[in-house]
Amino acid sequence: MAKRETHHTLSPPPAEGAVSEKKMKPIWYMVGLVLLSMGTIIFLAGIYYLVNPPPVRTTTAHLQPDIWWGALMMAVGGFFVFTNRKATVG
Amino acid sequence: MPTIELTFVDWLIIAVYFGFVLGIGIYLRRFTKNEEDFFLAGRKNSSWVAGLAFLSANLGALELLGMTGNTFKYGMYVAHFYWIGAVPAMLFLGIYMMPFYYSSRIKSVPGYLKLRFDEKTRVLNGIAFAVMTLLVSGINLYAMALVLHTFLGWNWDISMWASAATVAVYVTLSGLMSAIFTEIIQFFLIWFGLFLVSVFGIVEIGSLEEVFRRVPEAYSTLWSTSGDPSQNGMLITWGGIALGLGFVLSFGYWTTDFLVVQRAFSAKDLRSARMTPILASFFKMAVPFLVIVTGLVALILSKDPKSGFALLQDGGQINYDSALPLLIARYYPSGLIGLGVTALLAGFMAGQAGNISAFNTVWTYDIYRAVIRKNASDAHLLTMGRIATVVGILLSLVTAYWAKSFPSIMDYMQAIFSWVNAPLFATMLLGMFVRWITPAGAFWGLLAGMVSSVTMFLAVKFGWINPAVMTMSPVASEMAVNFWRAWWAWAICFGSTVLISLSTTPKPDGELVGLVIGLTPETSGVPVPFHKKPEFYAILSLIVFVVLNIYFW
Repeated sequence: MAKRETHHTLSPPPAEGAVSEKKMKPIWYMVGLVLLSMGTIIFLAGIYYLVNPPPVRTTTAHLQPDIWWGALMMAVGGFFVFTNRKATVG
Repeated sequence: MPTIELTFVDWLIIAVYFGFVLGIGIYLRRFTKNEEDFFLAGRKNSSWVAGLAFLSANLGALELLGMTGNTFKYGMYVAHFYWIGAVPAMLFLGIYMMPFYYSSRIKSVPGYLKLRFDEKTRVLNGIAFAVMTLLVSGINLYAMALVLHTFLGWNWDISMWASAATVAVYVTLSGLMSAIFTEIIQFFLIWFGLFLVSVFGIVEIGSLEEVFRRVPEAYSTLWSTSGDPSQNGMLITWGGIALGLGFVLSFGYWTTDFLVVQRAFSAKDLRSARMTPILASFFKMAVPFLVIVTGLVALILSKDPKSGFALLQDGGQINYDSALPLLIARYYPSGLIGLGVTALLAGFMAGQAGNISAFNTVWTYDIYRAVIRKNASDAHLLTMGRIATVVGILLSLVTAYWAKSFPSIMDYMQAIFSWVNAPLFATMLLGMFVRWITPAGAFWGLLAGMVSSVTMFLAVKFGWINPAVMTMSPVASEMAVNFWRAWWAWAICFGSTVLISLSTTPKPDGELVGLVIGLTPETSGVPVPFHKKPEFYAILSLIVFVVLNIYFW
């Protein structure tokens, strides 16, 4: 039972050139766009609040999490977008 | 009074999320050309895509809020839901059950019952699953509106209708494909949106060791206090955990609930389908970092008067679900609050989309085509799937308003799974691994299991029997009663199916090829080295699982 299969592709490969106008961007590209967009907003908001501190400060405000977490999201999102900019599926 | 104040930046983040999910639905519409695209996402997903969607379909906001609150209430024992209550079942699905599911080219779990047994067993399970899915979907919708109303002060009706309409648009446009896309986006948003809550909790307490040091042993260990139910927060024995949660509820949910299994059906080939739950198991084991650590931090802070932290109270009752939103408000500045709220919103909406995409498939294939219109064309089924999506959303809204007028229905949600999934697991297990199980045995056994589960629930609810009869223990929490009821429902279904099968006629072996072990030929393909086989990753996952259980024993 455990040795049932090895590597078995059921879907035939698409005919070359037949689907040129119907290529779909992979989900990782979409994930990248979402993270890049949200990361940029959070990062810029962090910079703004660094210059103009809000009246109510959270217990971790001194760590400036919005700046470095926004930057991290931008980096991860940018990586996904860049590596999948030419990728298509289907 | 709302506990989280949103600024323009937070609203902008939420608007970006809504814009993306609607845009993805519209974008994917052009690639949804036939019923297989709509119901099975074209069967072209990699194991990573299917695996993350498999996990995310279960990782809803209700789960995150509820499990964080449960950790506050029960302690570390909640980790059992993520480890013994998930991992063995996911690996079993990937290694042993997926070949039967995937190779038979079925479109739904009830579809397997039709091939292995008969039409009436399929329709029985199809109807039970459809009703369960709509109930859960409506209760999720109600829970979302409750959370948004309580913590953000949002209007009930607008919250429910706006979310339901968004899900209706993108699932109607491109079916399972858009549901899977939004589930994967939800996965990333949940990790990016909630990871820092745990990190800041650890920073505030001092260290992870300090977190565990400051909670009592009954709340900080997995198994060491399970010999005596009065010594642990969940009031349960190791037997109840292992049999009720680890075996029946876990295997019943992860191996037979079409909501999650449908994601594996969307994989591009058998190896990817088998890898789907195995990959998901690694991420499942990591989720306690989000919910358990957060729950324990909330518990520690609430016991420290200097922290100024306390859970909300509703009519004198502690609102355990408020732990996570209150910590978000405590630690997150503007922008990150929007991200945290969006993570919860994404969890609710992706959960809703998952339920609806499973409902429209089961309705279309296992009820509509099986009973109402047997000769429907592919184009007709595609249209029916879209209609079922809209009708399913509307029925969910009806259920949500029902739940609003009858809040205790929330308590029934865990019980609903034990009514449908626990007995179904016995039917599936016998169907796949015992060739002489008959269609009559499967049908009447499944019916007996479901009826007995509902009867046990009502008997305890209305005091007809003492729960100790079921739990075999003088003390038991509501959770312990759930675990044991699931076990008995499974045992009744298993026993009834075997007994009836012994006196009725099985299907001929020729009709069971590809559906039962021992009658299924080995499939051949391109050989792959051992380190690329599903079995290799399953062993790795099992090792991590054992180490975690020993470390937190």
